[in-house]
Amino acid sequence: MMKRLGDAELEIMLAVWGAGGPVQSGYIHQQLRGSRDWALPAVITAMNRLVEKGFLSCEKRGRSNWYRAEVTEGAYKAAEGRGLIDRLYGSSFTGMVASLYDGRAIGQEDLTELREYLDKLEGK
Amino acid sequence: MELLLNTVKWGLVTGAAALLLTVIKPLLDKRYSPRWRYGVWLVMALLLLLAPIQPLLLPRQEVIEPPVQIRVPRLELAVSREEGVSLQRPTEDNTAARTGVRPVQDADAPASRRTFDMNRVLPAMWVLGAAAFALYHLLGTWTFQHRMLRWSRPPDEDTVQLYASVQRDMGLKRTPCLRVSKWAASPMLTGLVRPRLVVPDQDYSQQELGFILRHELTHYRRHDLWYKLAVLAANAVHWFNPLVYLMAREAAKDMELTCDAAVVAGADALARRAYSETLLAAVHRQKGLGRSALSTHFYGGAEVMKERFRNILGSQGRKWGLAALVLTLLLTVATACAVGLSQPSGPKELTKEELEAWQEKINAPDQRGQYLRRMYTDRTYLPPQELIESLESSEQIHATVLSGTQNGDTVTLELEGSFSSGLSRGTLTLADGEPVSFTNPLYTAVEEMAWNTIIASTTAGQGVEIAERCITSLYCAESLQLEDTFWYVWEVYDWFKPADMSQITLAGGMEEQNGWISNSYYAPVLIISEDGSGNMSLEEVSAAWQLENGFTWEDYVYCHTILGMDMGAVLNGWPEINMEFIQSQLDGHQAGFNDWQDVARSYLSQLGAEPTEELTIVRSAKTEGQDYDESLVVRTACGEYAARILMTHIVYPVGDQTVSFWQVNSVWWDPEVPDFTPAEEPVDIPEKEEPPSGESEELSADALAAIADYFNTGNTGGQDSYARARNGLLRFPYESFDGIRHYLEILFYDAGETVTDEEELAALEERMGTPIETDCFRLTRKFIREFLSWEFVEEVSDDALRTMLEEHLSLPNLEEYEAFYLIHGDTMMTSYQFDRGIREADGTIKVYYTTDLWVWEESGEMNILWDQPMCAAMQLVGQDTWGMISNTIAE
Repeated sequence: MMKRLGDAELEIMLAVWGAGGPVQSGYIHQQLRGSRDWALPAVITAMNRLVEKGFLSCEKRGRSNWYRAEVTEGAYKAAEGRGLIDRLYGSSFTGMVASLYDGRAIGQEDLTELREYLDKLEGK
Repeated sequence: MELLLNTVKWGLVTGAAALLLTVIKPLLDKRYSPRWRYGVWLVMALLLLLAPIQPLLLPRQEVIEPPVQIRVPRLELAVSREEGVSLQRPTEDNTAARTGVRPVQDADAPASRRTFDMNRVLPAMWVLGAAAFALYHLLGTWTFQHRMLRWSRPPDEDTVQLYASVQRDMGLKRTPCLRVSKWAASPMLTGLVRPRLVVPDQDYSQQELGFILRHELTHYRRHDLWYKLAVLAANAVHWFNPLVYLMAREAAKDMELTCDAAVVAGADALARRAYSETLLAAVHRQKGLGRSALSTHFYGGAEVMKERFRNILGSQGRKWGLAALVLTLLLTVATACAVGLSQPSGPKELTKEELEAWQEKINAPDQRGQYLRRMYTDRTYLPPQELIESLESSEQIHATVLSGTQNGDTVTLELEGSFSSGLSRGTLTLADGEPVSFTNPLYTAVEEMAWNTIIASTTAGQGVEIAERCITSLYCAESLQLEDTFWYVWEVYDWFKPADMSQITLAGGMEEQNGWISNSYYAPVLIISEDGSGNMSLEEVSAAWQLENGFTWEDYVYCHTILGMDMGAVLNGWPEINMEFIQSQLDGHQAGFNDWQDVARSYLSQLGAEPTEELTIVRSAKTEGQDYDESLVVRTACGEYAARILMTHIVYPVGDQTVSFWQVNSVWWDPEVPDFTPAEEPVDIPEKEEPPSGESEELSADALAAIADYFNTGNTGGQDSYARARNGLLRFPYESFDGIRHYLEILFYDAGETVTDEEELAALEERMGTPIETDCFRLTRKFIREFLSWEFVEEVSDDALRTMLEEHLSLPNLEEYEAFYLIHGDTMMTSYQFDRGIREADGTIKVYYTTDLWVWEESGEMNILWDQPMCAAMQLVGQDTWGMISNTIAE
């Protein structure tokens, strides 16, 4: 069972996933600078915790530590979506949101249908 | 409950309107743009929100009854192990007051039954449901938002620039914070307090992004999230109403439609197409994210999208439809106001003024006792009119109304007063102003017992057939508490109507009225016990005549009903109350009867029993107004027989004096009445035998003693005047009856009754001419004549007797009292002892003895000869009486 990431941890992982390859802690620190005001040691501590949790692996190259994601973004995202609360609320709850369209309700067949309909309306 | 009913009403009416609008949408859409509907939904949502408190906002509706009234019954949900679950009308409240005793429990009610008042349950469920709904959405939104944001990042520079330009374009001073989220399936605006615009992490073209931002900012500008909040709140309040869910969905749809319209307002066809393509593209992208794509057609997601396309690309110039909006809303409000959803009001307390009015009414002098005359559980228990009328008394019963409630047509009043039943509390129930019941739980229970009792008694005796019966009244003669149990003594006044009146002859104590007969002497008296839990049972059916025995009901209940003792009658105990006894009490001779222990022991000893245990008091009760002032139940044992003795302390007035003494009324032996040695046999007087052969026979010592007893009885302090006079038969010599004439005063010296009558004494003194200083005894003529004719063997003629009395008895006499009087302070009583005796051949007995003898001299003086040997001759007359023949000096 995959552990759950806290908000800050997720941000770090997102940054790692966004990098697409192994990163140094300094890089993450920079990525986080907009949203969180962490000192570098705090970032390193957090990343080490992630290593313990199994989300990151750490490789020493020369004098620096390079961190690599051990869990893919898609895998984690899917896992997070499987919790009870998440299934109840998390994916497409439309209670107090004004979205562009009702995200749940349209499937593959409908898309084709809609394409045809729009074409018709547009007079094509 | 009223709130809920109001809510339901508005929910139904508004929901119906929403449904109607939805159904005729295709028609309306031809002429009107969705904008007006967008307004309608909002106003409807507000109406729905305010529905529960609508009476406060439209107070005028209270005065005018809505023309259409739907009555909702008051219901109860009953759950019991035996009966399961059932919905039913609530059982009536038992608000009957008490006489200070706990209520009678319904022994048949199933113990495991619980009832839930729907008027409480339903509103509670409503509130809980609304809370659950609100909680669900609050949690959901918060979770959703949180998820959305934690997977988000700030937008890149280009996007920021585009955002700023759109903002300028739309003239917005402030905008929500823009985030790009990997979690978002669709662009959205979220957050009431800190709104954020979230865009999925996709590669949108500038054009696409522009439309998207414009769409969401339009939502922002119109405060659509507040709109959504209003609709959601309304849905929470009406969570149980599917029509409101329908309305919410329609509102969401129309919100999007109008938003679309606002985005492309004034734009050309090209722009509109581009916008539509943006929408479709956005949907495509969502597919790529592999988000939860639930089945489509059910939710009509595609249909909605089609409608949006039509709306965006469709004909413009549809009317705004303000008139339609106002019309719809007015209709909705009017319908809701015209319909009333209400419940019949439950019981309500009567006001002070109403109570006073009732009090006046039931105490009015001219109402002929119709309210308070008697108690009854229902009108079937009332006696027939012809009996009521003939038994009517003019006595006025007054009652105070303590409290009252009204439930529809029924008025229930709690009354206090001294009612004919002997109870002081009662509940009067009136239906439509007419009395239908006046009772309380105790009376109702007794009434039923009384009916069962009189029906159980079959005929009126002697085969008289009964056509009808009734009870005219019940009266509680006594109520008492012994330990944990209450006891009631109820007199039942029952009447019957004979089938054939001509068969009846009324005996004493019976009464007849209008063809009805009552036998009050035999009227049943119910003795009822009530235990700690209020269970009543009929312990004994006694009768009215029991009171003639002189005991109080309290003593009767304890001794007879509870202990099972046969009580006898108060003045009929031991010692026997007769004139002699009373007299001796007045004289103070019998002081020993003032201590109960002494009396109890004397009683037992005269039975031949010896108490082997201490006499202990089991119960003692004082009383007033009876012939006794205290009763005792005493316990003891005589060997293996346990005894319970009932005694009473009699207080008996004699003239202006009062004698008081203890009396034993009854004894109850356990296990059975013992067989004591019988009392001494009566004096064994030898029978008159045929003389065997003309020989005379010596008498045995026993026989002599028996004969001596005959003369000595009066000497032992007995009260019998005869006995004392017999003692005098041997004080003087005589050879025949005639010889006693000089000695009559001596003969009767100790006989007679003490004179106590003041008048008599005064008359005597006057007659004597001197005051009387010593005791005075009365001898009636009757007594003298009887004695003289019985105690002698010789036949005495009336003339001889008369002569004896008139010429030879020189005692003062009073004609009006027909008596002679002896005045002296001493006694001549002697104890005789016979030395020997013989029975002659002809049955004559002669006994020989020595005594001091009175002798009359010719000179008229009386002398005493001391220690004279005497021979008295007598014959047996009857079974145990001797007739004197002679008393002579022996040779």
